[in-house]
Amino acid sequence: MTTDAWTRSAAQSRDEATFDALFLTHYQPIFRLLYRIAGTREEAEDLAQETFLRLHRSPELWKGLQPEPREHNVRAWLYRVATNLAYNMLRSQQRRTRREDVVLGQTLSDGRGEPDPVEAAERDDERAAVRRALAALPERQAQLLLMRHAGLSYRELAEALGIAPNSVGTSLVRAEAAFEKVYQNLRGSEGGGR
Amino acid sequence: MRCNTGRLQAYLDDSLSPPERDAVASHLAACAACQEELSALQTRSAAIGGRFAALTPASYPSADPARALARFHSETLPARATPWEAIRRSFTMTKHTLLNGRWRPVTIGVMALLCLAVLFSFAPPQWGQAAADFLGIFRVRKFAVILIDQAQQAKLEALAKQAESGQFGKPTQVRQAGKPQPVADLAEASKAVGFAVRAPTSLPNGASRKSFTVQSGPAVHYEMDRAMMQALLDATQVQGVKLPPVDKVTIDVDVPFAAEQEYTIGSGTLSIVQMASPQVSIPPGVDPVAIGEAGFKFLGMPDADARRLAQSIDWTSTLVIPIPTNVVQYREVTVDGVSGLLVEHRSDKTGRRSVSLLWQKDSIIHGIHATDVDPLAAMQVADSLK
Repeated sequence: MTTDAWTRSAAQSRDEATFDALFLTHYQPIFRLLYRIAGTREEAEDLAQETFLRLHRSPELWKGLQPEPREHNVRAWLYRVATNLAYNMLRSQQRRTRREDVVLGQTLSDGRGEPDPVEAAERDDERAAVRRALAALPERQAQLLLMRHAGLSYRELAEALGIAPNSVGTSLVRAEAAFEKVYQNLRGSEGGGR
Repeated sequence: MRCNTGRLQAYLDDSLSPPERDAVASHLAACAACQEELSALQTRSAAIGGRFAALTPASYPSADPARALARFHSETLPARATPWEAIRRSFTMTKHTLLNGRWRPVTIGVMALLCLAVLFSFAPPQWGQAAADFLGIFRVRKFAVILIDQAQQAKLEALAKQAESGQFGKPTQVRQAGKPQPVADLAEASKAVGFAVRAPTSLPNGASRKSFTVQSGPAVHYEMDRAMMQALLDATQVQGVKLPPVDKVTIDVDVPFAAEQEYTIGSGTLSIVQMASPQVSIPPGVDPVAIGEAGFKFLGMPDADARRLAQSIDWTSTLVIPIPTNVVQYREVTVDGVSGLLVEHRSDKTGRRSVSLLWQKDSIIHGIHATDVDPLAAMQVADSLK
Protein backbone atom coordinates (compact mmCIF):
# COMPACT_ATOMS: atom_id res chain seq x y z
CA MET A 1 0.00 0.00 0.00
CA THR A 2 1.45 3.31 -0.97
CA THR A 3 1.40 6.27 1.35
CA ASP A 4 -1.94 7.90 0.99
CA ALA A 5 -1.66 11.63 1.19
CA TRP A 6 -5.40 12.10 1.39
CA THR A 7 -5.64 9.81 4.34
CA ARG A 8 -2.80 11.70 5.93
CA SER A 9 -4.58 14.95 5.34
CA ALA A 10 -7.82 13.71 6.84
CA ALA A 11 -5.88 12.26 9.73
CA GLN A 12 -4.25 15.62 10.28
CA SER A 13 -7.48 17.49 10.75
CA ARG A 14 -8.79 14.69 12.94
CA ASP A 15 -5.62 15.01 15.02
CA GLU A 16 -6.16 18.72 15.39
CA ALA A 17 -9.69 18.07 16.57
CA THR A 18 -8.39 15.49 19.04
CA PHE A 19 -5.89 17.94 20.45
CA ASP A 20 -8.50 20.68 20.76
CA ALA A 21 -10.86 18.30 22.53
CA LEU A 22 -8.15 17.33 25.00
CA PHE A 23 -7.36 20.98 25.59
CA LEU A 24 -10.98 21.86 26.30
CA THR A 25 -11.46 18.87 28.59
CA HIS A 26 -8.36 19.34 30.70
CA TYR A 27 -7.75 23.07 30.65
CA GLN A 28 -9.81 24.04 33.66
CA PRO A 29 -8.49 21.43 36.12
CA ILE A 30 -4.93 22.11 34.98
CA PHE A 31 -5.43 25.85 35.31
CA ARG A 32 -6.84 25.45 38.79
CA LEU A 33 -4.02 23.18 39.88
CA LEU A 34 -1.53 25.74 38.62
CA TYR A 35 -3.44 28.59 40.21
CA ARG A 36 -3.25 26.89 43.57
CA ILE A 37 0.49 26.54 43.22
CA ALA A 38 1.31 29.81 41.51
CA GLY A 39 -1.26 31.98 43.25
CA THR A 40 -1.75 34.41 40.39
CA ARG A 41 -4.02 34.13 37.43
CA GLU A 42 -1.46 35.35 34.95
CA GLU A 43 1.18 32.90 36.04
CA ALA A 44 -1.30 30.03 36.09
CA GLU A 45 -2.49 30.89 32.59
CA ASP A 46 1.03 31.07 31.24
CA LEU A 47 1.99 27.78 32.82
CA ALA A 48 -1.18 26.16 31.50
CA GLN A 49 -0.36 27.37 28.00
CA GLU A 50 3.12 25.96 28.38
CA THR A 51 1.71 22.65 29.62
CA PHE A 52 -0.48 22.28 26.56
CA LEU A 53 2.35 23.38 24.32
CA ARG A 54 4.32 20.43 25.66
CA LEU A 55 1.37 18.19 24.95
CA HIS A 56 1.19 19.54 21.44
CA ARG A 57 4.85 18.70 21.04
CA SER A 58 4.25 15.13 22.15
CA PRO A 59 1.94 13.98 19.40
CA GLU A 60 2.60 10.33 20.18
CA LEU A 61 0.27 10.82 23.15
CA TRP A 62 -2.71 11.90 21.16
CA LYS A 63 -2.17 11.71 17.43
CA GLY A 64 -4.10 9.18 15.45
CA LEU A 65 -6.35 8.33 18.37
CA GLN A 66 -9.71 9.39 19.54
CA PRO A 67 -9.54 11.10 22.92
CA GLU A 68 -11.16 8.31 24.93
CA PRO A 69 -8.76 5.36 24.77
CA ARG A 70 -5.79 7.23 26.20
CA GLU A 71 -7.65 9.88 28.07
CA HIS A 72 -6.38 8.53 31.33
CA ASN A 73 -2.75 8.58 30.16
CA VAL A 74 -3.06 12.10 28.85
CA ARG A 75 -4.57 13.35 32.10
CA ALA A 76 -1.75 11.84 34.15
CA TRP A 77 0.79 13.17 31.67
CA LEU A 78 -0.64 16.68 31.80
CA TYR A 79 -0.58 16.73 35.58
CA ARG A 80 3.00 15.55 35.60
CA VAL A 81 4.06 18.28 33.18
CA ALA A 82 2.03 20.95 34.95
CA THR A 83 3.41 20.06 38.36
CA ASN A 84 6.91 19.90 36.91
CA LEU A 85 6.55 23.41 35.47
CA ALA A 86 5.00 24.68 38.67
CA TYR A 87 7.74 23.12 40.77
CA ASN A 88 10.39 24.78 38.61
CA MET A 89 8.57 28.06 38.98
CA LEU A 90 8.46 27.69 42.77
CA ARG A 91 12.17 26.90 42.82
CA SER A 92 13.09 29.90 40.74
CA GLN A 93 10.78 32.13 42.78
CA GLN A 94 12.50 30.83 45.86
CA ARG A 95 15.87 31.83 44.51
CA ARG A 96 14.54 35.18 43.42
CA THR A 97 12.79 35.98 46.65
CA ARG A 98 15.82 34.94 48.61
CA ARG A 99 17.77 37.49 46.64
CA GLU A 100 15.14 40.13 46.97
CA ASP A 101 14.41 39.22 50.55
CA VAL A 102 10.70 39.19 50.00
CA VAL A 103 8.38 36.75 51.66
CA LEU A 104 7.09 34.32 49.05
CA GLY A 105 3.54 34.49 50.30
CA GLN A 106 3.36 38.22 49.84
CA THR A 107 4.36 37.98 46.25
CA LEU A 108 2.01 35.16 45.54
CA SER A 109 -1.16 35.68 47.44
CA ASP A 110 -3.64 38.31 46.58
CA GLY A 111 -5.47 37.71 49.85
CA ARG A 112 -8.82 38.25 48.17
CA GLY A 113 -11.84 36.56 49.60
CA GLU A 114 -10.50 36.81 53.13
CA PRO A 115 -12.08 39.76 54.87
CA ASP A 116 -10.26 39.41 58.17
CA PRO A 117 -6.76 40.82 57.65
CA VAL A 118 -5.28 38.76 60.47
CA GLU A 119 -6.78 35.60 59.09
CA ALA A 120 -5.68 36.56 55.61
CA ALA A 121 -2.14 37.13 56.81
CA GLU A 122 -2.21 33.77 58.57
CA ARG A 123 -3.31 32.06 55.43
CA ASP A 124 -0.70 33.89 53.41
CA ASP A 125 1.94 32.63 55.78
CA GLU A 126 0.62 29.13 55.53
CA ARG A 127 0.51 29.25 51.73
CA ALA A 128 4.02 30.61 51.62
CA ALA A 129 5.23 27.86 53.92
CA VAL A 130 3.52 25.15 51.86
CA ARG A 131 5.06 26.53 48.67
CA ARG A 132 8.46 26.85 50.23
CA ALA A 133 8.27 23.35 51.63
CA LEU A 134 7.29 22.01 48.22
CA ALA A 135 10.16 23.86 46.60
CA ALA A 136 12.54 22.34 49.14
CA LEU A 137 11.45 18.77 48.40
CA PRO A 138 12.96 16.64 45.67
CA GLU A 139 10.96 17.24 42.52
CA ARG A 140 9.23 13.90 42.33
CA GLN A 141 8.04 14.07 45.91
CA ALA A 142 6.67 17.56 45.38
CA GLN A 143 4.94 16.45 42.21
CA LEU A 144 3.51 13.39 43.89
CA LEU A 145 1.99 15.45 46.68
CA LEU A 146 0.67 18.10 44.32
CA MET A 147 -0.94 15.53 42.08
CA ARG A 148 -2.34 13.55 44.96
CA HIS A 149 -3.90 16.64 46.47
CA ALA A 150 -5.25 17.57 43.07
CA GLY A 151 -7.23 14.35 43.22
CA LEU A 152 -5.29 11.95 41.02
CA SER A 153 -5.87 8.29 41.75
CA TYR A 154 -3.08 5.90 42.69
CA ARG A 155 -3.28 4.47 39.21
CA GLU A 156 -2.84 7.87 37.65
CA LEU A 157 -0.01 8.76 40.00
CA ALA A 158 1.75 5.54 39.03
CA GLU A 159 1.19 6.35 35.38
CA ALA A 160 2.38 9.93 35.72
CA LEU A 161 5.54 9.17 37.60
CA GLY A 162 6.31 5.88 35.94
CA ILE A 163 6.25 3.85 39.11
CA ALA A 164 4.54 0.56 39.96
CA PRO A 165 0.97 1.09 41.19
CA ASN A 166 1.63 -0.89 44.35
CA SER A 167 4.55 1.35 45.28
CA VAL A 168 2.50 4.56 45.20
CA GLY A 169 1.50 4.16 48.85
CA THR A 170 5.11 3.81 49.95
CA SER A 171 6.18 6.79 47.83
CA LEU A 172 3.39 8.88 49.30
CA VAL A 173 4.36 7.94 52.86
CA ARG A 174 7.93 9.08 52.17
CA ALA A 175 6.83 12.27 50.42
CA GLU A 176 4.46 13.18 53.21
CA ALA A 177 7.08 12.51 55.84
CA ALA A 178 9.60 14.62 53.96
CA PHE A 179 7.09 17.41 53.41
CA GLU A 180 6.03 17.50 57.02
CA LYS A 181 9.61 17.63 58.23
CA VAL A 182 10.49 20.56 55.95
CA TYR A 183 7.22 22.31 56.71
CA GLN A 184 7.67 22.04 60.45
CA ASN A 185 11.23 23.29 60.15
CA LEU A 186 10.07 26.27 58.15
CA ARG A 187 7.27 27.13 60.51
CA GLY A 188 9.58 26.60 63.45
CA SER A 189 12.25 28.90 62.09
CA GLU A 190 9.62 31.47 61.09
CA GLY A 191 8.15 31.44 64.56
CA GLY A 192 11.57 31.78 66.16
CA GLY A 193 12.52 34.60 63.86
CA ARG A 194 9.71 36.87 64.99
CA MET B 1 0.12 -10.54 55.69
CA ARG B 2 3.24 -8.58 56.57
CA CYS B 3 3.08 -5.10 58.00
CA ASN B 4 3.64 -2.57 55.23
CA THR B 5 3.38 1.19 55.67
CA GLY B 6 2.78 1.85 51.97
CA ARG B 7 -0.12 -0.54 51.94
CA LEU B 8 -1.55 1.07 55.05
CA GLN B 9 -1.37 4.45 53.29
CA ALA B 10 -3.15 2.97 50.29
CA TYR B 11 -5.73 1.51 52.67
CA LEU B 12 -6.17 4.91 54.22
CA ASP B 13 -6.57 6.46 50.79
CA ASP B 14 -9.06 3.76 49.82
CA SER B 15 -6.86 2.78 46.91
CA LEU B 16 -6.68 -0.98 47.36
CA SER B 17 -8.58 -3.66 45.52
CA PRO B 18 -11.41 -5.19 47.57
CA PRO B 19 -9.49 -8.40 48.39
CA GLU B 20 -6.42 -6.38 49.41
CA ARG B 21 -8.57 -4.09 51.48
CA ASP B 22 -10.16 -7.03 53.26
CA ALA B 23 -6.74 -8.55 53.90
CA VAL B 24 -5.43 -5.31 55.41
CA ALA B 25 -8.59 -4.90 57.48
CA SER B 26 -8.31 -8.35 58.99
CA HIS B 27 -4.60 -7.86 59.60
CA LEU B 28 -5.28 -4.56 61.33
CA ALA B 29 -7.78 -6.20 63.63
CA ALA B 30 -5.01 -8.40 64.96
CA CYS B 31 -1.94 -6.12 64.80
CA ALA B 32 -1.65 -3.37 67.37
CA ALA B 33 1.52 -1.98 65.77
CA CYS B 34 -0.23 -1.49 62.45
CA GLN B 35 -3.24 0.09 64.14
CA GLU B 36 -0.91 2.58 65.72
CA GLU B 37 0.87 3.25 62.48
CA LEU B 38 -2.39 3.69 60.62
CA SER B 39 -3.49 6.22 63.15
CA ALA B 40 -0.20 8.12 62.82
CA LEU B 41 -0.50 8.11 59.04
CA GLN B 42 -4.05 9.32 59.29
CA THR B 43 -3.08 12.22 61.53
CA ARG B 44 -0.24 13.26 59.26
CA SER B 45 -2.26 12.94 56.07
CA ALA B 46 -5.05 15.00 57.57
CA ALA B 47 -2.58 17.67 58.64
CA ILE B 48 -1.00 17.81 55.20
CA GLY B 49 -4.43 17.82 53.60
CA GLY B 50 -5.19 20.91 55.67
CA ARG B 51 -1.98 22.60 54.61
CA PHE B 52 -2.65 21.97 50.95
CA ALA B 53 -6.20 23.19 51.44
CA ALA B 54 -4.70 26.57 52.31
CA LEU B 55 -3.63 26.82 48.68
CA THR B 56 -7.22 26.54 47.51
CA PRO B 57 -8.66 30.01 46.99
CA ALA B 58 -12.11 31.06 48.14
CA SER B 59 -12.95 31.21 44.47
CA TYR B 60 -10.99 30.63 41.29
CA PRO B 61 -10.64 33.32 38.68
CA SER B 62 -12.66 32.44 35.62
CA ALA B 63 -10.77 30.42 33.08
CA ASP B 64 -12.62 29.99 29.83
CA PRO B 65 -11.13 26.94 28.10
CA ALA B 66 -12.35 28.08 24.69
CA ARG B 67 -10.66 31.43 25.09
CA ALA B 68 -7.50 29.74 26.33
CA LEU B 69 -7.56 27.45 23.32
CA ALA B 70 -7.93 30.41 21.00
CA ARG B 71 -4.94 32.04 22.68
CA PHE B 72 -3.04 28.78 22.35
CA HIS B 73 -3.56 28.66 18.61
CA SER B 74 -3.11 32.35 17.93
CA GLU B 75 -0.26 33.18 20.33
CA THR B 76 1.39 30.30 22.09
CA LEU B 77 1.93 27.96 19.18
CA PRO B 78 3.19 30.52 16.67
CA ALA B 79 5.31 32.37 19.21
CA ARG B 80 6.93 29.31 20.63
CA ALA B 81 7.60 27.40 17.47
CA THR B 82 11.34 27.40 17.05
CA PRO B 83 12.56 28.19 13.57
CA TRP B 84 13.74 24.64 13.23
CA GLU B 85 10.31 23.39 14.13
CA ALA B 86 8.94 25.72 11.56
CA ILE B 87 11.38 24.26 9.09
CA ARG B 88 10.50 20.71 9.93
CA ARG B 89 6.82 21.48 9.77
CA SER B 90 7.48 23.31 6.61
CA PHE B 91 9.20 20.32 5.11
CA THR B 92 6.19 18.19 5.86
CA MET B 93 3.95 20.97 4.66
CA THR B 94 5.83 21.32 1.41
CA LYS B 95 5.05 17.75 0.68
CA HIS B 96 1.45 18.19 1.70
CA THR B 97 1.24 21.38 -0.23
CA LEU B 98 2.45 19.79 -3.37
CA LEU B 99 0.50 16.63 -2.94
CA ASN B 100 -2.72 17.54 -1.34
CA GLY B 101 -2.38 20.21 1.25
CA ARG B 102 -3.21 23.83 1.48
CA TRP B 103 -0.89 26.49 0.17
CA ARG B 104 1.22 27.98 2.85
CA PRO B 105 3.29 30.84 1.51
CA VAL B 106 5.76 30.49 4.31
CA THR B 107 6.55 26.98 3.22
CA ILE B 108 8.60 27.95 0.26
CA GLY B 109 10.86 30.26 2.20
CA VAL B 110 11.66 27.99 5.07
CA MET B 111 11.98 25.11 2.69
CA ALA B 112 14.58 27.10 0.86
CA LEU B 113 16.35 27.70 4.14
CA LEU B 114 16.27 24.02 4.94
CA CYS B 115 17.64 23.08 1.54
CA LEU B 116 20.34 25.68 1.72
CA ALA B 117 21.26 25.19 5.34
CA VAL B 118 21.51 21.49 4.83
CA LEU B 119 23.23 21.66 1.50
CA PHE B 120 25.42 24.57 2.33
CA SER B 121 27.57 22.88 4.88
CA PHE B 122 28.75 20.26 2.44
CA ALA B 123 31.82 22.12 1.44
CA PRO B 124 33.23 20.92 -1.81
CA PRO B 125 36.84 19.77 -2.04
CA GLN B 126 37.42 22.46 -4.65
CA TRP B 127 36.12 25.03 -2.19
CA GLY B 128 36.58 28.56 -3.25
CA GLN B 129 37.11 27.96 -6.94
CA ALA B 130 33.62 28.76 -7.99
CA ALA B 131 33.24 31.64 -5.58
CA ALA B 132 33.32 34.30 -8.21
CA ASP B 133 30.29 32.84 -9.95
CA PHE B 134 28.08 33.03 -6.98
CA LEU B 135 25.65 35.84 -6.47
CA GLY B 136 25.16 35.53 -2.76
CA ILE B 137 21.44 35.99 -2.96
CA PHE B 138 18.98 33.26 -3.69
CA ARG B 139 15.66 34.12 -5.26
CA VAL B 140 13.16 31.65 -6.55
CA ARG B 141 12.82 31.84 -10.29
CA LYS B 142 12.23 28.24 -11.13
CA PHE B 143 11.19 25.01 -9.55
CA ALA B 144 12.85 21.70 -10.02
CA VAL B 145 11.66 18.39 -8.75
CA ILE B 146 13.75 15.69 -7.29
CA LEU B 147 11.95 12.43 -6.81
CA ILE B 148 12.64 10.67 -3.58
CA ASP B 149 11.49 7.34 -2.25
CA GLN B 150 10.22 6.62 1.24
CA ALA B 151 13.66 5.76 2.59
CA GLN B 152 15.09 9.04 1.33
CA GLN B 153 12.11 10.88 2.68
CA ALA B 154 12.75 9.30 6.06
CA LYS B 155 16.40 10.36 5.85
CA LEU B 156 15.47 13.96 5.18
CA GLU B 157 12.95 13.96 7.97
CA ALA B 158 15.45 12.45 10.39
CA LEU B 159 17.96 15.15 9.48
CA ALA B 160 15.35 17.85 9.94
CA LYS B 161 14.52 16.38 13.33
CA GLN B 162 18.16 16.53 14.40
CA ALA B 163 18.27 20.10 13.22
CA GLU B 164 15.17 20.85 15.22
CA SER B 165 16.76 19.50 18.37
CA GLY B 166 19.43 22.15 17.98
CA GLN B 167 22.31 19.90 16.97
CA PHE B 168 23.32 22.23 14.19
CA GLY B 169 22.68 25.44 16.06
CA LYS B 170 19.54 27.44 16.47
CA PRO B 171 18.35 30.03 14.00
CA THR B 172 16.92 33.22 15.44
CA GLN B 173 13.59 34.42 14.29
CA VAL B 174 14.03 38.00 13.19
CA ARG B 175 10.41 38.45 12.34
CA GLN B 176 7.45 36.22 12.87
CA ALA B 177 5.04 35.34 10.15
CA GLY B 178 1.88 37.40 10.42
CA LYS B 179 -1.61 36.06 10.54
CA PRO B 180 -3.71 36.08 7.39
CA GLN B 181 -5.53 39.41 7.15
CA PRO B 182 -8.70 39.65 5.10
CA VAL B 183 -8.69 42.19 2.29
CA ALA B 184 -11.62 43.53 0.32
CA ASP B 185 -10.26 43.62 -3.20
CA LEU B 186 -7.25 43.50 -5.50
CA ALA B 187 -6.30 47.09 -4.81
CA GLU B 188 -6.15 46.57 -1.08
CA ALA B 189 -4.29 43.28 -1.48
CA SER B 190 -1.77 44.83 -3.87
CA LYS B 191 -1.16 47.72 -1.53
CA ALA B 192 -0.52 45.35 1.37
CA VAL B 193 1.84 43.00 -0.41
CA GLY B 194 3.70 45.58 -2.50
CA PHE B 195 3.10 44.09 -5.90
CA ALA B 196 0.17 43.91 -8.28
CA VAL B 197 -1.97 40.98 -7.16
CA ARG B 198 -3.91 39.33 -9.99
CA ALA B 199 -7.30 37.68 -9.91
CA PRO B 200 -8.72 35.02 -12.22
CA THR B 201 -10.99 36.28 -14.96
CA SER B 202 -12.37 32.83 -15.58
CA LEU B 203 -13.35 30.24 -13.03
CA PRO B 204 -15.02 26.84 -13.29
CA ASN B 205 -18.82 26.90 -13.08
CA GLY B 206 -20.21 27.24 -9.59
CA ALA B 207 -17.07 28.77 -8.14
CA SER B 208 -17.55 31.23 -5.31
CA ARG B 209 -14.93 33.14 -3.38
CA LYS B 210 -14.47 31.98 0.17
CA SER B 211 -11.73 34.32 1.30
CA PHE B 212 -9.15 36.83 0.16
CA THR B 213 -6.24 37.37 2.55
CA VAL B 214 -2.73 38.73 2.75
CA GLN B 215 -0.06 37.50 5.09
CA SER B 216 3.46 38.58 5.94
CA GLY B 217 6.20 35.98 6.01
CA PRO B 218 8.91 35.32 8.57
CA ALA B 219 12.55 36.34 8.59
CA VAL B 220 15.19 34.08 10.03
CA HIS B 221 18.87 34.57 10.78
CA TYR B 222 21.04 31.54 11.08
CA GLU B 223 24.67 31.13 12.08
CA MET B 224 26.60 27.92 11.97
CA ASP B 225 30.07 27.53 13.46
CA ARG B 226 32.59 24.85 12.55
CA ALA B 227 31.48 22.47 15.27
CA MET B 228 27.92 22.62 14.01
CA MET B 229 29.02 22.21 10.42
CA GLN B 230 31.01 19.15 11.42
CA ALA B 231 28.02 17.79 13.30
CA LEU B 232 25.84 18.22 10.24
CA LEU B 233 28.43 16.66 8.00
CA ASP B 234 28.74 13.70 10.35
CA ALA B 235 24.98 13.33 10.49
CA THR B 236 24.70 13.15 6.73
CA GLN B 237 27.50 10.61 6.34
CA VAL B 238 28.27 11.98 2.91
CA GLN B 239 31.81 11.00 1.97
CA GLY B 240 34.48 13.06 0.32
CA VAL B 241 33.62 16.58 1.40
CA LYS B 242 35.56 19.02 3.55
CA LEU B 243 34.41 21.90 5.68
CA PRO B 244 34.76 25.38 4.26
CA PRO B 245 37.80 27.37 5.43
CA VAL B 246 35.71 29.81 7.46
CA ASP B 247 34.92 30.09 11.15
CA LYS B 248 31.22 30.37 10.63
CA VAL B 249 28.61 30.82 7.99
CA THR B 250 25.53 32.98 8.22
CA ILE B 251 22.33 32.59 6.31
CA ASP B 252 19.48 35.08 6.26
CA VAL B 253 16.08 34.21 4.99
CA ASP B 254 13.41 36.77 4.38
CA VAL B 255 9.98 35.73 3.26
CA PRO B 256 7.89 38.69 2.14
CA PHE B 257 4.17 39.09 1.79
CA ALA B 258 1.79 36.73 0.09
CA ALA B 259 -1.80 37.05 -1.07
CA GLU B 260 -4.24 34.17 -1.18
CA GLN B 261 -7.62 33.83 -2.84
CA GLU B 262 -9.71 30.83 -1.93
CA TYR B 263 -12.70 29.49 -3.81
CA THR B 264 -15.13 26.69 -3.36
CA ILE B 265 -16.23 24.86 -6.46
CA GLY B 266 -18.95 22.31 -5.77
CA SER B 267 -17.38 19.81 -3.40
CA GLY B 268 -13.92 21.01 -4.31
CA THR B 269 -11.70 23.93 -3.42
CA LEU B 270 -9.24 26.06 -5.30
CA SER B 271 -6.71 28.44 -3.85
CA ILE B 272 -4.44 30.90 -5.60
CA VAL B 273 -1.34 32.16 -3.85
CA GLN B 274 0.94 34.91 -5.09
CA MET B 275 4.07 36.00 -3.31
CA ALA B 276 7.29 37.82 -3.92
CA SER B 277 10.16 35.39 -3.85
CA PRO B 278 11.71 34.76 -0.48
CA GLN B 279 15.32 35.86 -0.36
CA VAL B 280 18.09 33.82 1.10
CA SER B 281 21.47 35.46 1.48
CA ILE B 282 24.46 33.25 1.90
CA PRO B 283 28.04 34.27 2.44
CA PRO B 284 30.20 34.59 -0.65
CA GLY B 285 32.63 31.86 -1.51
CA VAL B 286 30.18 29.05 -1.82
CA ASP B 287 30.06 26.70 -4.76
CA PRO B 288 26.39 25.88 -4.94
CA VAL B 289 26.84 23.20 -7.58
CA ALA B 290 29.10 21.16 -5.39
CA ILE B 291 26.82 21.70 -2.44
CA GLY B 292 23.85 20.57 -4.44
CA GLU B 293 25.78 17.54 -5.56
CA ALA B 294 26.56 16.61 -1.98
CA GLY B 295 22.88 17.05 -1.14
CA PHE B 296 21.85 14.66 -3.87
CA LYS B 297 24.44 12.17 -2.70
CA PHE B 298 22.91 12.46 0.74
CA LEU B 299 19.65 11.39 -0.81
CA GLY B 300 21.38 8.32 -2.11
CA MET B 301 21.93 9.36 -5.71
CA PRO B 302 24.90 7.71 -7.47
CA ASP B 303 27.90 10.07 -7.69
CA ALA B 304 27.77 10.60 -11.43
CA ASP B 305 24.02 11.32 -11.45
CA ALA B 306 24.35 13.67 -8.51
CA ARG B 307 27.03 15.66 -10.31
CA ARG B 308 25.11 15.79 -13.57
CA LEU B 309 21.90 16.91 -11.93
CA ALA B 310 23.64 19.45 -9.70
CA GLN B 311 25.36 20.97 -12.72
CA SER B 312 22.10 21.25 -14.62
CA ILE B 313 20.51 23.41 -11.94
CA ASP B 314 20.94 27.13 -11.46
CA TRP B 315 21.22 27.04 -7.71
CA THR B 316 20.81 30.75 -7.23
CA SER B 317 17.29 30.74 -8.57
CA THR B 318 15.91 27.22 -8.52
CA LEU B 319 14.00 25.84 -5.62
CA VAL B 320 14.51 22.11 -5.57
CA ILE B 321 11.50 20.30 -4.22
CA PRO B 322 11.74 16.73 -3.03
CA ILE B 323 8.66 14.78 -4.08
CA PRO B 324 7.95 11.27 -2.89
CA THR B 325 7.69 9.03 -5.94
CA ASN B 326 5.04 6.80 -4.56
CA VAL B 327 2.32 9.36 -4.16
CA VAL B 328 2.32 11.78 -7.02
CA GLN B 329 2.71 12.39 -10.66
CA TYR B 330 4.24 15.56 -11.92
CA ARG B 331 4.92 17.12 -15.28
CA GLU B 332 6.15 20.35 -16.72
CA VAL B 333 3.42 22.46 -18.24
CA THR B 334 3.02 25.87 -19.80
CA VAL B 335 0.79 28.10 -17.72
CA ASP B 336 0.31 31.83 -17.62
CA GLY B 337 2.66 32.03 -20.58
CA VAL B 338 5.59 30.50 -18.76
CA SER B 339 6.89 27.08 -17.83
CA GLY B 340 5.50 25.65 -14.62
CA LEU B 341 5.14 22.50 -12.65
CA LEU B 342 1.97 20.46 -12.32
CA VAL B 343 1.76 17.96 -9.49
CA GLU B 344 -1.15 15.56 -9.27
CA HIS B 345 -2.27 13.14 -6.70
CA ARG B 346 -5.23 10.82 -6.57
CA SER B 347 -6.22 9.01 -3.44
CA ASP B 348 -6.47 5.24 -3.75
CA LYS B 349 -9.13 5.22 -1.11
CA THR B 350 -11.39 8.13 -1.79
CA GLY B 351 -10.62 8.65 -5.45
CA ARG B 352 -10.33 12.37 -4.74
CA ARG B 353 -7.85 14.21 -6.80
CA SER B 354 -5.67 17.12 -5.85
CA VAL B 355 -3.70 19.30 -8.21
CA SER B 356 -0.94 21.79 -7.56
CA LEU B 357 0.52 24.22 -10.03
CA LEU B 358 3.69 26.17 -9.40
CA TRP B 359 5.17 28.85 -11.59
CA GLN B 360 7.08 32.08 -11.47
CA LYS B 361 6.19 35.13 -13.47
CA ASP B 362 7.41 38.72 -13.26
CA SER B 363 9.36 37.87 -10.10
CA ILE B 364 6.21 36.68 -8.36
CA ILE B 365 5.81 33.09 -7.30
CA HIS B 366 2.39 31.70 -8.13
CA GLY B 367 0.74 28.63 -6.84
CA ILE B 368 -2.65 27.09 -7.37
CA HIS B 369 -3.82 24.25 -5.28
CA ALA B 370 -7.12 22.55 -5.96
CA THR B 371 -9.01 19.50 -4.83
CA ASP B 372 -11.71 17.81 -6.86
CA VAL B 373 -10.88 20.08 -9.75
CA ASP B 374 -9.71 18.92 -13.12
CA PRO B 375 -6.01 19.74 -13.77
CA LEU B 376 -6.99 21.38 -17.03
CA ALA B 377 -9.49 23.61 -15.23
CA ALA B 378 -6.80 24.62 -12.75
CA MET B 379 -4.50 25.51 -15.64
CA GLN B 380 -7.25 27.57 -17.24
CA VAL B 381 -7.63 29.51 -14.02
CA ALA B 382 -3.89 30.14 -14.06
CA ASP B 383 -4.06 31.31 -17.66
CA SER B 384 -6.89 33.71 -16.85
CA LEU B 385 -5.06 35.67 -14.15
CA LYS B 386 -5.23 39.39 -14.80
